[in-house]
Amino acid sequence: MLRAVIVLLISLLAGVYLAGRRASPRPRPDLRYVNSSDVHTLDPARMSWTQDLRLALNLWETLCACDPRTLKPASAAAEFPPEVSADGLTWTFRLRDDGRWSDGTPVTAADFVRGWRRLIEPGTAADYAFFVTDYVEGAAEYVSWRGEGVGVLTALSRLAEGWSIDDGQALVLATAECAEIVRRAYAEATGNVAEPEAFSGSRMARAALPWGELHRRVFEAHAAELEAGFAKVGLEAADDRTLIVRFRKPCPFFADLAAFPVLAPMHPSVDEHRERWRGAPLTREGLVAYDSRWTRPVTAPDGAARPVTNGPYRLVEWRFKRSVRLEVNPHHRDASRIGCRSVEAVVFADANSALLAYEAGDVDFIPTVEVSYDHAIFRLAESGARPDFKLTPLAATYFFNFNCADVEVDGRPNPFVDPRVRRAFSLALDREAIARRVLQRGDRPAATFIPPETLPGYDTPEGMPFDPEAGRRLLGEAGHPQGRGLPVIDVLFNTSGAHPVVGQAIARQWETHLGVRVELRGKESKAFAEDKARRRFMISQANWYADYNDPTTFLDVLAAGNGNNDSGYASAAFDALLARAATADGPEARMRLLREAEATAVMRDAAILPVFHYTSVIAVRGEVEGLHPNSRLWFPFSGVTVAR
Amino acid sequence: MIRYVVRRVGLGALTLACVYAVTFLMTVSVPGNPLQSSERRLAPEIEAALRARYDVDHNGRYFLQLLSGLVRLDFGPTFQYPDWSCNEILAQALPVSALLGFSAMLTAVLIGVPLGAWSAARRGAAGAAATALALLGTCVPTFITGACLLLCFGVWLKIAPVGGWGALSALPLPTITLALPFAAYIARLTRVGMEEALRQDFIRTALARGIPDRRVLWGHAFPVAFMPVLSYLGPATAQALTGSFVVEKVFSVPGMGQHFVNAALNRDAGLLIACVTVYSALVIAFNLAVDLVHAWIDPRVRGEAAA
Amino acid sequence: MKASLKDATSERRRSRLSGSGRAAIAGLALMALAAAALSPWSAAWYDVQEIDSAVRHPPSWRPAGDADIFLTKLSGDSVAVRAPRMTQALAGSRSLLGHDDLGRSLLFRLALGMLVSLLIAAGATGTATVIGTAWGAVAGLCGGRVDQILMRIVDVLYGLPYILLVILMKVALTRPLTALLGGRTRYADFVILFLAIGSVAWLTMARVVRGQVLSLKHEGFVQAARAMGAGPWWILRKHLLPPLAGPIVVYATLTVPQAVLQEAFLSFLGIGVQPPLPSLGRLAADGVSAINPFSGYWWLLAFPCATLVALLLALSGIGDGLRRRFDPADRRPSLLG
Repeated sequence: MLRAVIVLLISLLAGVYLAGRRASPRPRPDLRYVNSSDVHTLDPARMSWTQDLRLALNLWETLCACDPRTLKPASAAAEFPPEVSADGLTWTFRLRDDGRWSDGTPVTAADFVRGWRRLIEPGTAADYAFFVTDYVEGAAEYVSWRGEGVGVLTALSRLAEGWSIDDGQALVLATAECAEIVRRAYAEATGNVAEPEAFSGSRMARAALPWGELHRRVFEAHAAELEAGFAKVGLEAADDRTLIVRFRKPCPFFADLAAFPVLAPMHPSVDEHRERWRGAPLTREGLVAYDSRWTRPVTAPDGAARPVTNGPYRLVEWRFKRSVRLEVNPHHRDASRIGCRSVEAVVFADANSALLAYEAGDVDFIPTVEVSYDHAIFRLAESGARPDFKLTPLAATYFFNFNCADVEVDGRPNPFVDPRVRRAFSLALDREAIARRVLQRGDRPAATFIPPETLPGYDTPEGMPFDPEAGRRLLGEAGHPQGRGLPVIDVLFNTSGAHPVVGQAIARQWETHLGVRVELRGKESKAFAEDKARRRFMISQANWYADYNDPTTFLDVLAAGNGNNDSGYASAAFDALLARAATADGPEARMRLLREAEATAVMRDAAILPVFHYTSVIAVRGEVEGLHPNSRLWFPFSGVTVAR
Repeated sequence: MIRYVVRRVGLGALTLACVYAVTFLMTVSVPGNPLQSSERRLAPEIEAALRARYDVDHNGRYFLQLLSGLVRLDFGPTFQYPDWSCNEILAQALPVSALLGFSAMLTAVLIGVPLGAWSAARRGAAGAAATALALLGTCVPTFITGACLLLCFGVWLKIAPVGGWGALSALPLPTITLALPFAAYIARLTRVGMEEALRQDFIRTALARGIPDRRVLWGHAFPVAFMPVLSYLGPATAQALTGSFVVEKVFSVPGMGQHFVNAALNRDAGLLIACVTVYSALVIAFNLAVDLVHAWIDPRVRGEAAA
Repeated sequence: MKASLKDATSERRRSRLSGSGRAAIAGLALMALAAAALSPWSAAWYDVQEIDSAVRHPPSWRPAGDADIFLTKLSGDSVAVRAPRMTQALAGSRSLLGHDDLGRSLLFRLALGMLVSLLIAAGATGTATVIGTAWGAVAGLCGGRVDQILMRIVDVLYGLPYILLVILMKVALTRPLTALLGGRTRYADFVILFLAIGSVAWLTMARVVRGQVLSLKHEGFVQAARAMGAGPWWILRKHLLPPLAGPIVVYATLTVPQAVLQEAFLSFLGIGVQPPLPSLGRLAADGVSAINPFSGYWWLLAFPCATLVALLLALSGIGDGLRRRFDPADRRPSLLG
């Protein structure tokens, strides 16, 4: 019997040994910093998370750089400033001669076209595709043409495999230009003229058509037109060193955009990973798709290290949900001058553990300290007791969306379609109390959407005051004196987001000042996103971080039909002001129009309810020099030196 | 014996298939869009195309797709982490969880069994220790024990790293945190088993014959008392091996437990099914192993099994 | 050594066990009573903030912050009208256990949290008992193919990690139930939580009940009833349920602490009870971040944890005591020994 126990113990021990043998730690990097959450992707075109972008910023070099001290654009892969035509619509970027990929080959203008094209391709599903599609001439048309083709090919490939399609897909077949042959075949087979209303998913699935053949013919036609279609986009590699970008509307802040890592160039080697179908570089559905593992650090059969990047660092190791390790790109022009030779980003799922690791000296840098006791951290930073905790006002706003569009929410009348009610709620919020007394971590009370003094040249409008008396009066005018006749106000928030206390504090204020009943509805991220997308809320929590140094990074969110406009706010006056600003004469007139637009949306219409502008604490150990705190948490590591 | 094993393996495979089907049904029937990874929205035709590409546009088709992958032991892509496949994620996480799980089970057995046995034989200090362990293990949620250990040993005493995984010094704290509830239960099982065994006639006979206490305790009583512990070790080991969300979160351990929770919260059917399949397979395998050990030790079980 | 082992071989006294069970019952009753008595006041207090001065105020005998908010909220309320002295006294004792991030009294939040935890646990146990008993009884009574299928389903569900079931169940139930309860999010949340926990906890109950039914089925009195032409429903109700009541009650009692712990775990994940409603698990999970070298808010962790542990101990003690009474031969270990 004892033998059995001994055997068991030995087998357990062997298990421990075998499982433990695999760990082989590398030497400590010069700089080790905390990623508050996992790295989602290292494909720059698909990025949307701060922690991913921070890595991309150091792995890839874009046309312009953003100086971490001033946040002004500077020279990077291209000379600065670029050559801008008199009408502001044509920008010519001259690439520097000494730009090199990590395999030693020179960076060319065609590499940028390749990278930007990947960004806008429907298959990439990039969050930041609008950087190109909104401004570059012909890009939006190319994307919609591609989207139509993809829609048709998806429907046809599904039909060819004997599956049904939904009515939305059938409608694409009924209307898309490239589906002409499908309509003709359908009309012949069913014997009637194929009007759009004759198309429905189930009816099409029943029609005995040679779907496979139709799919192949549409696919071949679409693939053949691919290059000609893209040629209409205003992106042109005139020669190896010259990139010409033509805009459809002036984009005075494009140098800022061009510093954003999603606009990185792509080395030709990524095309090795492109999926092909029937010889064309597209999938069956017409998507441009890559074997997504191309971002993983490997040594290719020819001995070259992949992925090939052109930034100051190259990717050496990526361990899932654990760490990403960068080392200096030996071919980069500054390679010999870079003080910080290796960087490691470690994932800490728990912010408290991350701070403890920092205290224990295991990590050197936390880009944002986000712990539930951050008021204590704030106090240490503010009093100067801990000079390594640096207080940084961010260009980011915590706000709530009012549901401006739906008359009914979940069967209950939605009072917020009335702008007076929205204004009343906005007026009855004491932002000062929330920022200074509830959160106590240095956030600035937000009377406006755009954080004041973070965007150069923009003069923030006055903003929404705290005036509960006026709020009550407005509510009375709207037919709800003392909150009478209002349903229970439903506030949707994300339980995984920080600070549910804010919601509780706000609810309490409205109950006191307006006499309404408020109910908080916390949902985990996915359910929250779904409810928000279907606009199943009266008020929902949100935040927005500036992507570039221009007011439009905030204001575009409120434009009618914008993909991020969760409030459903649609105001002709506001949209007209944005349009006028886009073509305004000179930066001052433009900023004035934008200011007016913000005042319209936030003050007059109260589409959103700004609460506070974030202030963040950055923890940097004393040995680390050259990490400049800035309002966009923009941290290039190439200027960093570590005294150790 | 062989027929018994074959039958058990067959039943296990059937259970696994059902578990798989149930998981799939649950994942696709709860609301939430797996392809939505950020806050921005996709154009409808692009979303349809991406759904088609990942085969999530038809549940039936998706089911077959995943099933055929399962047969090839290829769990396919994940939606949340486009750069990785489920297989790669499991390949990175499973060894970590296995190391932690094995050492935790080892610790649990090494603490729980002697403590339980002693407390049954000698009431007093050992009994109090066992009770204290039971309290600690069953009544304090692991997120509290873990955080306390981290603060004491990581921050104040600085004898263990606070975060990060790789060095062997990172192992003890999460191991203890994970082991405590198991150790508590094992101690309780051993203790009750021992008490029961010590009341049996053959023990009294052995003591009356003048056999030394130590030999009676460990040679005669313990084998009987260990049986329930052995049965418990099967599912417990499987559970420990597949990781614990709490321990992994508190100690930043890159194990499997977090994938269960995150995949469920993200509606990431591929990853979820991969995790559940591994978990269920381990549960079934360890139960089988435990039963075989049972049969090997105790001939009566073998007789029942053959019947 | 010899004497001690001899001692161990003798029958143990049962009275000590039931003694601890009794102590647990008394302890729990006391806690529950205190929570229930405080609940009208704590319900008024749970979302009241005294933003100005009581935020993160440490425990003290002298009340912090502004009591007026509390008293205003309660004025006109029947509790305050009936027991004005009590109301005053409670308002005066609000700082005994300190205040939280929003300046709410931890004492009141703990009282309400305990009530919420107990209600969720009770709801979960009720759900588990109903499903488990029905499932087990049907399996045991019908036998044969039905029994095999039903128990195979239980096996499959056992093979799933329970946390997965709870999460998916919670997500799946949210919308239909919210709609059913007329959009009363707070209640819906509550019901969903205990349904989700309960719909996982019934598995053991089903197995136990089935085993009991199987053994009872062949007893003489059941056979006799069957011979007299009684239907299965009649047999179940008149002959099987009375003897089954004991084991069912025992397992139900043992499920309660499990449900409390599971709710705590869900709170740690952020999908438990939604704020501002507190539960013991939520309060303890929120308090965990107090473990850091920067802020000394020990009371936010210490008191919720102590309450949680005390509650779990009392519940387990009751379960064990009951089990020993109904089933002295049960070999499963007791917690309190």
